[in-house]
This record gives sequence, C-alpha cells and structure tokens, in this order.
Amino acid sequence: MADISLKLEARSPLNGYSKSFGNLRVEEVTGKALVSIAVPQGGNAKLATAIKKQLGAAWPEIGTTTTSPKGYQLLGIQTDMVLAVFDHRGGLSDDLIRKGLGDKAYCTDQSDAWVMIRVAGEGVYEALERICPLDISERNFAIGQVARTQMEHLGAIIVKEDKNEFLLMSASSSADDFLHAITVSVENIL
Amino acid sequence: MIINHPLLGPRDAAEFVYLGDASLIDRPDWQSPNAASEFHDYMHLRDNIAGEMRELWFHEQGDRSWLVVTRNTVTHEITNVELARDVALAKQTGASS
Amino acid sequence: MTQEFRAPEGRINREKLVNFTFNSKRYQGYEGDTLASALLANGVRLVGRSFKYHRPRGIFSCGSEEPNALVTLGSGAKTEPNCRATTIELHDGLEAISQNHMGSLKHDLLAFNDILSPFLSAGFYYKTFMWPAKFWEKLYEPVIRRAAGLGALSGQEDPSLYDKGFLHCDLLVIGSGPAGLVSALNAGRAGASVILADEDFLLGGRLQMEQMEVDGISASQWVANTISELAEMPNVHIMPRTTVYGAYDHGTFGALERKTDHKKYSSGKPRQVLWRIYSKHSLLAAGATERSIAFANNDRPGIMMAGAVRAYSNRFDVLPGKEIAVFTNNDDGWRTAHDLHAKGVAIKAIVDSRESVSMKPPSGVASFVDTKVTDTMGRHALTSISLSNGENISVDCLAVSGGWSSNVHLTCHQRGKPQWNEEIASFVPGGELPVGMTVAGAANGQMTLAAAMKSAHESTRDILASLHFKPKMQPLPKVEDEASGTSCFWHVESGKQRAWIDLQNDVTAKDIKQSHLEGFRSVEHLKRYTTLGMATDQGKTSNMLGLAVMAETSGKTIDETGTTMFRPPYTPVPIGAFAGRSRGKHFKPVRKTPSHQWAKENGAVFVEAGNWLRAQWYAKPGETHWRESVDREVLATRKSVGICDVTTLGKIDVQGRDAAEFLNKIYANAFGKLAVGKVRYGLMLREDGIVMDDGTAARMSDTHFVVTTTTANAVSVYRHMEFCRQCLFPQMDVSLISTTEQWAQFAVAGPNARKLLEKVVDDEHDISNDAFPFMACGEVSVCEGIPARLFRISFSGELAYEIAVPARYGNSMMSVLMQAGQAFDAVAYGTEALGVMRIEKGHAAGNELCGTTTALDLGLGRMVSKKKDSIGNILSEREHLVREDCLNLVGFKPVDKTKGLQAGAHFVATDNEPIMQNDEGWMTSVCHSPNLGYSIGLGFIKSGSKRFGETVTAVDLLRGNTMDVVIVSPHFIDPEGERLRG
Repeated sequence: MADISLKLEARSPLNGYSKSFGNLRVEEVTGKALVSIAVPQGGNAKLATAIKKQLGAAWPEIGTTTTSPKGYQLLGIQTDMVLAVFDHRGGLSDDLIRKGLGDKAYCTDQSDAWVMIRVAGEGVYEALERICPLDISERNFAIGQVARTQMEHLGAIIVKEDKNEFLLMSASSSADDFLHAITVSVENIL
Repeated sequence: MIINHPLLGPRDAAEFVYLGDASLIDRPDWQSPNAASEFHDYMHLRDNIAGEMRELWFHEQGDRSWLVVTRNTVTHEITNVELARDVALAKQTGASS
Repeated sequence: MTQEFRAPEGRINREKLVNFTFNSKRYQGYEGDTLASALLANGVRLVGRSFKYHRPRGIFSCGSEEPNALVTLGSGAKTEPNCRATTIELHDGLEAISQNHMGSLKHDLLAFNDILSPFLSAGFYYKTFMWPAKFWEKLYEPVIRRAAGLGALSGQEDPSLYDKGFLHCDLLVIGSGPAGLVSALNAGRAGASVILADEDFLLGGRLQMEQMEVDGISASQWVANTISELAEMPNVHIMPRTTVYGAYDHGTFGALERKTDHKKYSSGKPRQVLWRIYSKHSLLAAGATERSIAFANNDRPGIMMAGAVRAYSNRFDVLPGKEIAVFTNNDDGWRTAHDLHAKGVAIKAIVDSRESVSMKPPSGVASFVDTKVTDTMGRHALTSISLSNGENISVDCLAVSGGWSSNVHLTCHQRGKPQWNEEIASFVPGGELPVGMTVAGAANGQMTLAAAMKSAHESTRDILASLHFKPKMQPLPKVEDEASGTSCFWHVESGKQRAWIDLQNDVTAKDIKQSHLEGFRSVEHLKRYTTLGMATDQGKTSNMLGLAVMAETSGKTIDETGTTMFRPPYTPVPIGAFAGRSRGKHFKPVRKTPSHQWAKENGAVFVEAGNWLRAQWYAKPGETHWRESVDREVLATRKSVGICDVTTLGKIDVQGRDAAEFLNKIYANAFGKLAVGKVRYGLMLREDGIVMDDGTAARMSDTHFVVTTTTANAVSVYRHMEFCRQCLFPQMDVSLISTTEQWAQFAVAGPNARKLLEKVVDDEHDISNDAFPFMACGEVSVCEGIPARLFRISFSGELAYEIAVPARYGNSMMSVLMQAGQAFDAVAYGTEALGVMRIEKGHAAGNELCGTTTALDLGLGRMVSKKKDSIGNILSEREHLVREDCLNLVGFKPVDKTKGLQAGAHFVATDNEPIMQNDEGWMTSVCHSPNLGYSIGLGFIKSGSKRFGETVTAVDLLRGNTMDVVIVSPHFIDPEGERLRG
C-alpha cells in the first residue's frame, strides 16, 4: 500500500534565484515546461501543419523562434527538432504535446533538463561577451533569435527576448556553475 | 578555426568535436563476401593528406549535426562544409540507383 | 629626489603627482608617465643587470621592445617579474625593484661574470659543462640558473583575477598610430564595426612622440580630436592597453587587455582580460621599431634609441640626459638632435656613419659624417664616447639610430615570410599573410607620415569595399613626409671589445661570428645556438643587427640570409590570463546529482566522476574509516534494502519507426523482438570489435526506447549514436535526445526493495513479481500522481529496481525513499558500495570496459549476434580476438585471505619469473567483500573460465606486493541469479 503521508516537493535548479546588480538583473525563470518535438523522416510539412493547428505557432527555422497566442514558444535549435516552451501544468509535459500531434512528432519531456536564466538590463552585452562566443550584437542577433553554443565549458542555449534582455539555458545539473559564470561576468563589468 | 556551418553560419571550431576522414561514411556491406577485409580497410586505412581533406566534425555544442568539412590540412583553409547526412544520403541513393 | 630632468610641455598631467618606489626608495612622477619616464625624470639611469654578464644596464627604448629595463613589480604572492619599465603605467603606490643582481644593484656581487666573459660566449653551456654528466643536474644547472637569469617568481599562487571574453568586428585595427587612426576613422564613418586596439595607454602611436603637425594642428591635438570622434561612434570599440598578441586562423586574434594594472586597487575586478577577437578583416598598423648599431660597449646606461630619447622629451617632458650625442646611419636620428636642441639641451655631436648627408644640424651643433662611435666609457652610466676620428666627447646620453624595422611580427603568425627591402633597409611583410589581414603604414614599409596615412587610407577603402560598405572616404589629413634617407650600416668593428647585439640575452657580435665559424649557417640555427632574439623581447631591437652581422660574416646578402620566424605572443602573456577563471574549483564545471543536497546533509563524502560529484559513501556519526561506512551500506542493502542515486548514468531517448532497427545496429545483441514493457542489457561495440560501452534499453512503446549508458561514456555514446544516425543510417526514421538531466533516477536494491517501493508507487500500479517481473519496465506514478518510470534491473545482484522521477523532485525523492524505507532499516549507499556489490556479482564496469577488451573476453561472446549487421560485428571476428587462449573475465581470491588484493597486479604462473613473456593477464577491480569477509577481485586471465580452482601469482612490482591467488567464478554472490528474480 502506498504511504500517502509521503509527499514529493518540486525544486527548480536554482531555487528561484533572483538578484540585481546595478542596472542588471539575473533571475531564474521557473514554472516552464520544455518539450522537444522531432520530425519523423519526410514528415516536415505534416508536422508543421499540425503544430500550427494544435499549438498555434509556425515551425521555426533553425536559429529562430516563433510564438503563439496560446502561450507556446518554439525554439528552432535543430533542423529536425524544436523545443516547445510553455507554462508547466504538472504531469508529463511531453504527453500534453503528443496528445495533439499524435505520430506526427516524436516528443520528449525536457522540462527538468534545463535551467533557464534571464539576464536583463543595460550592460547585458558587456557582461555576456565574457562568456558567449557568438556575435549577439543588435545587428547580428535580433529579438527572437536563438542559438546553441557553449559558455564556460557548458552547453548553452541563448534566446534574445527583448532589447537588453536574454534568456540563457544550460543543463540543470550544472546550474550552480552556469549561474556563477553569469554572475561573475556581470560583477566583472560593473 | 572557424567552420562555416551550412545552416548556422560561422562558428568557432571549439564548438565542434573532430572525428577524422569523411571516408568513415562509406561503411562496407556486412554481407559482402570480402566483408572482413573491406571492414579492415574501412577501419584502419586512411590517407594522411597534406592538403585538401574531407573530414567529419560534430557540432556538439550546437545543433548536433555531423558535418563534412573540406579543409586544407596545411593552410587550414576550409572550402566546403556540408551536412554529413546529406552526403551520406546522396551516396546511398547514388549507390542504389 | 626631485624630477630634475623634466622639460616643459608634453603629454603628461602635471596636475597629478604620483608617488612610487624603486628599490624601496621613494620617487615622484606624473600621471601619464611610464615607470621608465619617471625614473629618467628622477635621474635614475642604472635600472638593472644584464642576463649573463651582469653588466649595468639602463633604459634603452620607450616601448614594448625594451630589452634592458626589466623590473619586478609588487611583492609577496603578487610579485610579477620581468616587467618592462617602458610600458608600466605609473600609478600611486607602484613598487618596483631591479633584477638579476646579488647584493645591491650598484655593487652586484655577480658582476665578476663580466670578467669571465671569454668563457661564457655562445654555446658555453654545451662546451664547458659536458662532464661529468651527473654534475649537470645537481651542480652546474642550479649554479648557472642562479647566476644567469631574470626576475624570480614568488612561487605562490597568483592571487590576481583574470577573465576572458569574445569580441566580433568587421575590422580590427591593430595600432592607433597615424595609419591606424586614418583607417578606424574611415571605417567607423562608413558604419563598419571597428575595434581599435593599441598596447599603449595613450593612443596615437608615434604621433604622440614627435613634433609634427596634422591638418595644421599639433599631432597630439589631431589625435585627441580623432579619438573623441571615434568615441562617439557606437560601432567603434576603442581598446587602449590592449596588446593584440597573436594572429590565428580565419581572422581570429588573441588580445590581452590590461584592466586594472594601472590602478592602485583592482577593486575585485580582473586585472587583465584575454580576448578572442573574431574579425572579418584586420588592418595591421603596428608601426616600426628602431634598432641599434653594434659598437664597442654599446650597452651602458645612457645609451638609448634615438627615437626613444625624442619620445621621452616630446611625450613625457623628460630629458634622458643633459649632454647628448647622436649616432645614426639615417636621417631620422637627426630629428632627435633637433627636437632636444629646441628644448635647450646641449647637443654635443651628431655622428653619422654615412659618407654624405643632406641633413643640417641645429645651429651651433657639431656634426661628423662618415664617422662612427668606436667606444664608450662610464662604469655605472655613460660618461663619454670615442669617435673614429679620434675625438673623445663627454656626454651622459648617446642617442643611437640604426634605422627602423617594420613591425611584421603578426604577419608571420600563419605562413608569412618577411621580405627584405633594401631601399628602406627593413624586412617588410611577405608571403602569405593571416587570412583577411592588410598591412599599412610603417608596418608595411611606408616609413613616413604622409605615406603611412595614404597607405592606410587606400587599404581601408579596399577593405570596406570587400565588406560591401560604400564608404565616403574622408580626404587625407594634410601632412608632410619627413626626411627618411637611410643606409645599411650595422656594425662598428670593435676589436677585442664587445659590441652588443642582443642586450636582453647578452649576445655580442663576436658570438655571432663565432657561431658562424663553428658551422651554424642557417639563421634558425644561429638563433638557437647564440640565443639571439630568444629572450622575452624576441629580439625586437636586435634581430636585424644579428642577421646583418651574420650576413656580413658569411658574405651573403641579408635577403639571402633571411629572417627567423616570429611567433605568438607579440609580448609576454601571463599564464594566469590564459587560465582566466578556470582555476581552483572552477577549473571545470561541476555537475551535481538531483539528491546532492540530501547527500550533503547526510554525511556524504563526494567523489568526482567526470564532471559529476557523486556520493562515495555516507559516513554515519561514529564511523572513523571509510570501510566502516561502505561495509555497513553493502551489508544492509543485501540484508534489507539500499538506495543509490544513479542519475549520472547516461539516458538517451530513442524514438522513431526504425528505433528498434537502429538499436540492432548500435548494439551487438538483437533488439527487434524486445517486447514493449521490457528491458534488455545491451552491449555496444566499436567498429573495430572492441567493447565501447554497455547499458540497458527499455522499450516504452513500439517506437520509443530509453537507452542507458555508463556515466563515463554518456557524451561519447550519444555522439557515436548521432554519427550512426546521420552518417551511416541516414535513411532510418529515428530521433535521439539526451534525457540524462531530465530524470532523477534511483536504484532501490535488496530483498525489501519491492516492499519499499510499494509505499511510494501509487496503488493503481501493480509491481508484484508476476505483474512486474525481472527486466520489466513501465510508466508509473508515485506519491499521488507524480509521473515516474520504473525499471526492474539490477547491478547489485539483488532484487532491485531503478525508479526515475522528473529531476525537480529528485532531492525530495531521495528523502521520501528513505522515509519509506525506515521500516526496513533502509540505507543510502554510495559509489563505493555500488562498486563492491557489482564486483561481488561479477558485473563488468569501466575497469573492465577499458578499450582493449572484447565481448568474448567479458564472457559475453554469444551476445554478438551474427544474424544481423551491427557496429563491430565483422571485426570482432578478427583472428587475434577470437583465439582459443583469449582473456576471460574471472574472479580471484587470495590464498591467504588476510591479504588484500591489488588492482593492476599482473598474473604469472606460480614460480614463473615476473617478466612480460610470462604475463597471463591482470587484475581489474578489487574490493573487500563484507559478505565473504575477505578481499575479492575481478580480472582478465588467459583461458580463465577453464581454470577455476587454479592458483596463480598476482605480481604488483609497482607496490612491491606479490601474492598467490585462486581463480574462481566471477559470481561471488548468488551465482544462479535467484535473488534478482525474487
């Protein structure tokens, strides 16, 4: 018999970290579901249509993101795979997506695999140039663009959300070190 | 080095992992009568080229694609970068037709 | 001491006095001074001792080419040796001390080396200290190292902070002299993204050191105007104090920016930042460096480069002497006389080696053409010079100009080979330049102001066009070309007196001639034999002289002689800067398991497994030895139940219509017929037939498998699977993604494992032995609806499960499992107990999957299916791998059970000599088995599975530990496997 007094508590990788450094703010983004959606061979068009219908967003080209009024954001991280980001509703997030897409997609829950950190404010470029090898200057990396790269030896995804605002993602197990890489960069340029 | 990824544009070689000669795509048929010697050659015989070479690179800290990079091993000049999957598909289609 | 050598005007801030010390004596300078200019202003002329002969040396140049004035900055752990006084920005509190002397700088006890000089010439190490050979390490080398050398490191960890970063630009302009500024200005106005980098803290290059006019205003004012316009442009990034030290592939450059070195306090900020600059194009405008002339005793303090003398006067208001002579082989040297004369300095003579010159001396100044300086006098500093016409002139400063060499350094970092230009007596960039590099100004041989600006102007126009900008080029600034006539004159015959070529490594003209006599004909050999140009200055002021003397000696032209290769870095870069933040515990990222917090709170001792930190064991209060903890964990698990965080095992989601077929390819054994809801052990081979990794594949649905890998190989196996998917089987419909981080996974092992899990798994999921037998898997839920995955697999050999929950619940799950296990005295166990139990069970792990062993060796030969194609299948059949007496994985126990086995020991037949020919295999893993009460081991030995009961000798020569051991079955516990099916 299951012991109903046993309760599981959820904890985000950084426990909801949030801190201001002068004009810059570094905060963990929590409560998001992440599901990878991969295309079966030859099923690109069908999947794009299904996604448009079910999630309300267009299939993003690699390096770009799309959003839908239903609250889905799709990150184009590979040609044959996108990451869907939406509010976490408990349970298995991949099941939610799979329900709508059926066998038109291969879905995998990634909600707990990543830590998401938003860095925003004036000076964000100077801070990120200490760890981000990519050219994320305004003319090269517009709002809504996404890229996968490495920062301080950690795999990372970077999304430009707004002027002076970036979302950074990396593996949840090394979240502490990823945060450290970011805060040191911020402190070093203050 | 900078590798001009066919989908993502120029990326630092630090994002990639190197494997070796792109001939590794040409895996022999296991049912060939000479499978043992063909696999031996496939596995162990490589040309050590001072000049233009086709190499396999994996974009591990990127989009996870395997690339065939044509690179001059002397000057490091890179003249062509293709998705290895496209190269492999083209070969297999070519072989079957 | 007062600054009695200050002149009026200049580019220092007289409003701001700066206090500093040199050899503990207090001095004052001004903001804008270098340490060198401030020392000169205070009349300090002797600043160091030379490398080999301990000759008194002074300040020689005014830039990063300085060979002489090397000092040690700071104290304690912050000590930094071999800093060039000529580039150190003066700041309050600066402490500098001189180097390479025993006793005081003035009375150096090692100065007797100078008297021994006939024995210390080129190659003296090789000739003098040949034998007895054993003396070399113990006696000769330590003594030589003490006597000859530069500053000393503190021997302590460098407490300074360093950082790194990445910059991108359309155009990197290296050098902010006239060429660099013209280029940056035009590129900036055209809208290109520009980085303008200069090693100096004051931008402008030679424009700050000369009395020149640009566009009708003073050069320094023109620089100020230009910089302020550039500073207004958002697309231009101005980087003073930044040395571009290396040109790498495809337009990538290394640059070191000094951030706080010029400040009294670093305020917790990195002192330096090492930048990787990605440029579409680069313009090298690094200018030129003046070189010396070799003549007798040309190394005394007070003998300086003529351009430097002028720079100290024009830029720093410092007069390097009160009575100055100039020795030159070119027109430029004459400007020094004019500039200093204008400041009221006594110019005692202008000596020009050329037969005729068109230059006019300042009024009242004596000039001698076709004349040379033949010798100099002055013990600690220059007092007089002798000329070839017999005259002796008393001076305290001799300004020498042997002409200017283009700074081609960075053009050589790829395949560039400089070419000799006789007309300007300089090597200029040649061969293949780094990709995207253009050279302009003096660095390209355009030695005069108007020519330099024009070349930069034209180069920039072409660069911008190639980058598809449509520049509206600004008109060239109105400037004039200065007189620049020069000659190839390098060396005044010095007889028995020494004429210095390389001041930093104490190489003389005689050394060059001697090495030629001894047969060193190639310039690269000359360099290594004499050490010419091999000091930290890389011979910036001396290489040219050395080549010229060599050419002279060998009767070749300089062109034929060629030049040595310049290599990065342009100036020294601290190792700390290359390390950046990656030091101490930040050397590499740390991955923490989901239950890390719980483990920390419960006495875990952690071990590094790759980047992971894993609980090695959990020490209970009172346990004083690790074995106590590990034995307790093992016994309690086998008796009741234990829990271990196994999240670190790699997990890969494999989905697709061809998922099963794909697994058939990557695993040696077959997966096609694995039923949904079942797990199978999978053995992965490399294509050469050797075992790559092992793990399990669980079939979650027809088109969905969850594959596990070992912790160590998680990344490489994923990479390999992507290789197979994209390169070998691109027609297959299969998709891969890592889920290692998504799921927190725990092994629950022991006879009470099911009972424990029944308290956690929600009741609607039947996990009874019938419903969920050995090797079953499925999706379940725990603690009222939290999704989970359950796998009935066992590494310990016990009734065991692995249960996975989303990582966010991981820490809580560990605690919940322990609570649920309280009734069973459940224990948490670490990697050490995990290891003991798998050895007791005879399961292979990393020690056995070591990259040399086959499936056959591991006793898994029959798993390699011959009915299908899989990676490694064909080559696993190689003759040598399948021979009769191949190694077998078996168990070992000591004959004397009180002894502990040693992993790494090699097996020989008892009484056989422990030599390679008799080697039969080796011990891979050992542990103390608390269940058996003695040491047990796994290992490979020839034909081992046919030799159970035989005694062999395990030889460990390394640790001097040899013992007899008995070959046994590797399954020490439950050989029939009843427990795991229970």
